[in-house]
Amino acid sequence: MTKNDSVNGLNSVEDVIQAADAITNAADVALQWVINHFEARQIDQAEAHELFASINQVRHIANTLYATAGDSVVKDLGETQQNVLNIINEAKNTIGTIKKAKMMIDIIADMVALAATINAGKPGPILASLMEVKKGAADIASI
Amino acid sequence: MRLCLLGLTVLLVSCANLEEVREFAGESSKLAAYREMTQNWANTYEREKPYLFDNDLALAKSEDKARQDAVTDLLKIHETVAMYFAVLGKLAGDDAFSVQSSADDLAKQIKASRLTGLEDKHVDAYVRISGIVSSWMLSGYQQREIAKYVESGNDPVQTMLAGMRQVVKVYTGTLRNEKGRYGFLNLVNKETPQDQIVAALANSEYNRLSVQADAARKKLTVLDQAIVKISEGHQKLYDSRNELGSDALRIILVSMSKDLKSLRNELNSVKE
Repeated sequence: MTKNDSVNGLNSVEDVIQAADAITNAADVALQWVINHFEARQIDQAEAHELFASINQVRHIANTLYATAGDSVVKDLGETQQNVLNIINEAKNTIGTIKKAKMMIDIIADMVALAATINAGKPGPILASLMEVKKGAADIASI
Repeated sequence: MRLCLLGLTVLLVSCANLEEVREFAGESSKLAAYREMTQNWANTYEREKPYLFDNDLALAKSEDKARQDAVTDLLKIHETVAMYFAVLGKLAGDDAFSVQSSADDLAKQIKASRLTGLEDKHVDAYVRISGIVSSWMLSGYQQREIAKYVESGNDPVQTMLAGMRQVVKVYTGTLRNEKGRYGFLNLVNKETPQDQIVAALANSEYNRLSVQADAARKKLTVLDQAIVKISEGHQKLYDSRNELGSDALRIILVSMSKDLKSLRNELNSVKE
């Protein structure tokens, strides 16, 4: 809900919340009045409960407005949230690029090890080094 | 040629010190109380149900539907903001823009291989020199990336934080009405001894529920203060995005992180 939209004749989320707060204030004041008059025996229990039920109707209006405001915040933030997610993803790509650089260095280290084992002419270590190089290449390809 | 190859591969080494940015981002991403209070708001009807009857119960139930419809999206707002700050912390991380460990491993491998004909001392010297050069290069790159992130993120993040503050108001108001709905527990006759027993039990139950609601309200107040602090901190970061290493910004961020930590401790210490 933007400033120009309207819910229940109110113009913004802030207005809706303020209206709900005002209604809640009124309900709290009314409840205190009922409690005070009940304790002073100016009203009996049945009258107090009847008034209490009416106050609950008022609280229901306030709570409905609060829920409407919460829903409006969510709708308002839909596009903004998407913007933030795009910014996050872009940053993750940057971090991924550095990670790739690290992996490139790692694979070069593996290749140096492979060259050394080939130079030594021992088949076992050659295969092990080759597997390392292969794994490194697969890791980079998976980013 | 061999030195060039080694130089190119170990050039990307960094030691940019952005500890204060990292610390602030870390504290900002830990706002678990928003999640807790959203769940608390969503569970309003479950708490109220045993104390409501007839029409009051029906009204409360209809409110519950609206809350259940909104809760998933309200949690997503927090998840996005938390993720934003977690990634900011990652960007400012010690090792995010450093390939020092990989470069060290490569140097070890070259020394062990005995293929290059380079002496150990040459390899060590080259790793050290290229480390200094690349540290300067990558540190600049890292700071530019953070500046870019904060610059494009400030507007939408401030909007989301403002939205979270509105949501906190929604939770606070709903909580006030919940406490009010328990008010009938104070409207019990005390004429006969039996009435007095019932009144005492009702009053005790009201006090218990009241303490619970007051604790939740206290949490919401502190949560709001934490959101304001995060908003102010991010604004400072944005204002100083081109001088992230400045002493002035560091001092502010240290203070902000300390405040956020203390607010987090306050939130954890609120007893229900």
